[in-house]
Amino acid sequence: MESESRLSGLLERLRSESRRSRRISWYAWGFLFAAIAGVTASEIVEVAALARCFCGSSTSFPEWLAVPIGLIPAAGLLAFTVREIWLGRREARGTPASTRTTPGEPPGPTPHWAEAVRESQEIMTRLQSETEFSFVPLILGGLGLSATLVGVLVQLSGWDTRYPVYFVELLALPGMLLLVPLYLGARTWWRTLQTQLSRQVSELGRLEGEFFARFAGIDAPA
Amino acid sequence: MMDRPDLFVIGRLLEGLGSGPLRRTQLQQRAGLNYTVFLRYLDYLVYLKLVAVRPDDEGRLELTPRGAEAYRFLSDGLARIFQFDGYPRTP
Repeated sequence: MESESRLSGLLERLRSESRRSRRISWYAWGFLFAAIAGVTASEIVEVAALARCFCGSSTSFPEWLAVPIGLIPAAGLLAFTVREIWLGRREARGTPASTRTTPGEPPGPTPHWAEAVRESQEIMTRLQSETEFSFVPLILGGLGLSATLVGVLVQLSGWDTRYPVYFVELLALPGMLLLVPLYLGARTWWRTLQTQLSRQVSELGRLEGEFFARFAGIDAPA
Repeated sequence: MMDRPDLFVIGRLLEGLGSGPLRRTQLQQRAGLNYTVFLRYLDYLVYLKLVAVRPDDEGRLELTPRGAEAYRFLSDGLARIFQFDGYPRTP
């Protein structure tokens, strides 16, 4: 049946989305921890610089250089996260352009209908719970990242001598706001995609039930 | 009776008979099943009166009107579900 390959396709697509969701989750949490580590490292550099000043040492590692270096891993992971979301969005629009899928890949064995539907339902449940946990670290990490960057910029400009620290850190909020469109856009897209896939999966289950009810006289296969 | 019939296998068998009566081996090859599984499903479809055996025609198998209806039901349902071609569009 032609639709048989389509169910295989749907299952493959769900598996692919599941792998993507897991990668986004790893990158997002990695981003949060890298941002925390980067901020901590920059604070250590600052303290070390202060200590050297008190000791009269002339050699010091400039903070304006230490902070960007410390935040490179976080920025890289954020870039990976954005890339995954962008690739997923592109595929959802009909361009199977993921570098992780080989175009000539042979199709897997034909799944048993009920097994395929069951696996699809499990994947959908997992995807829905993973989604929320992936976006929280993005926002928190983004706050830390932008607070640190704003702090460095303020120090470089000399504002920190004129304004209290809490005011300087408040300046990080606009930086975080840059992540809000990314968050909202990605979340909306992710949920729309999940709703559509979920509807297909539940309709497949319903079709199976209706078929057996109508032609076999049973409510659902045992 | 079968534990949990695979709707795809049922669909393949019904589709195979859609173009006319076939011998058992022809239908088995068309459905791509091993003979044991094929016989199990064939018995099931005959039991459900979706497929009939023609004793006057070397035991060829044919779809009953109910079988044709079942195939239409299945293919229409799948076509409706997969109208997005597996790639649902974002708004």
